[in-house]
Amino acid sequence: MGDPLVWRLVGYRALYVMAVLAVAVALLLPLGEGAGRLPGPDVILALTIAWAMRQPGHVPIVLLAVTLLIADLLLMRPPGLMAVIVVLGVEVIRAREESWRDVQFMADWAVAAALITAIFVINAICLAIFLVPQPSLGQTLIRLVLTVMIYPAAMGAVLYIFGVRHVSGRPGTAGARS
Amino acid sequence: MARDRGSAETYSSPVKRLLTGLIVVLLIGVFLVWRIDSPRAERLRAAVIDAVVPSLDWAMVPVTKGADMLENARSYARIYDQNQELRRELRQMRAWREAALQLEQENAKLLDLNKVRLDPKLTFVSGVVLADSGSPFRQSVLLNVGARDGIRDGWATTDGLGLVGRVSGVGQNSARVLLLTDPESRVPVTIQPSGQVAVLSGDNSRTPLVDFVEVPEAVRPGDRVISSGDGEVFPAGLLVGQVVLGRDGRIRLRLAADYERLEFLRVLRSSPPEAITAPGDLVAPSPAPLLQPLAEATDG
Repeated sequence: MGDPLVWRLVGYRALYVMAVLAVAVALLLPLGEGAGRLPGPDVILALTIAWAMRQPGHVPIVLLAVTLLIADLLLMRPPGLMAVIVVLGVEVIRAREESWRDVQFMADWAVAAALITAIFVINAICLAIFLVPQPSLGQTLIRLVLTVMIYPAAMGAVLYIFGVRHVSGRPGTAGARS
Repeated sequence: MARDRGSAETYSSPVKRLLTGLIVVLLIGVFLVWRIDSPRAERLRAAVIDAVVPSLDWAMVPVTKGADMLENARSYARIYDQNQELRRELRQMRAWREAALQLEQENAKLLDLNKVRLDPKLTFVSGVVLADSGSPFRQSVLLNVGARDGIRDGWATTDGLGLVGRVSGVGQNSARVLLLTDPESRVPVTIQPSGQVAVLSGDNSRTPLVDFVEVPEAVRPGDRVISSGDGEVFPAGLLVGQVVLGRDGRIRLRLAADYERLEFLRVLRSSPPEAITAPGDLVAPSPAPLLQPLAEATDG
């Protein structure tokens, strides 16, 4: 664990937080009316899953929880619910970290699609249990499909814009050793 | 929790497992607190947004302005048509202005004759829209005026043309306005010519639903809808919009406010009307014994 590696890791973690906050701020921009339009994809979710699939060490659980909680608060969602579900989803990825090491992208996408669907379903079930008013089924489905569709773009951003590489060291020693 | 582990010996040391559990419990706790004591949690949310969003103004303003400029540049393409159209409209408006001036004078004269006093408390605070709700399923905007400017929860907001929404959540420097299109917005309204009372309920579409109409047959598309002031939610008589028939055959409302361009909003200061607590006092035989204790109280 030399110093440069540690700094690099810190840099990547900061980059993740900045990316999520940038997406949140972009969503907050007052650009005309939102009602009656198609709901867009959940970019933060796609980005988080993509990042965790490539490099779970960059999204440690505390950082993830705090970032997503802030995103929940900023974006007028029920605070904590989406955060806890995504944290658990990322833990699922983390627990099977080695399985994703050398898979084809299509397989990767399929896994992510299943996970995103599970996250949406659990979110909807929790909202229903706690009697929180929620959007119509059609709108939620559109959002789910769009989120799955945007996953390759999120993965592209993670790989080529943020420059995250595959895990090549031992799992747990989180560091991008490319 | 247990199902998320599988063959995870490589990853989870007990400490990490404990940390995961702790964080999950904490987040669920936050959610439960929000669900149980929503107003307090929403106040916390307002405080967080109040701390974050106005300080990000430097980043958001250039992007917003840029997007607006792009939108405007697109409209240059049909600037000639637009110009013609505006000229035509201006001519009509001149005629209307003349009529309005005459009516205003007449109205002033009549008010003077009748010794009517308009409510002097209905003043407003103007604010600039800082941010959207950020979620496709919630419709609200954030203003740059807040508790510092005397804004209170529940005040009505207009954009000069019509009602926009109500203040719901006030921070020190920012206030959230719940738009009429939000799924949780419910506003009592009056439909103008028939005088029926209804509830305007948002449903995340452009045209909110006019609900609980007693005689739907008496309502026609094009009827004016104003706020009714029932339930002390809003001051009465603010223009809300026009009735239209929705594609689903239900009575809906085209809002008078220009929701495409919400830039400056007016928050109307409204104080609740004086409450009449004891109905018997109103029809008391003589006012003298009623005034007596009041005078004593102010003396002492």
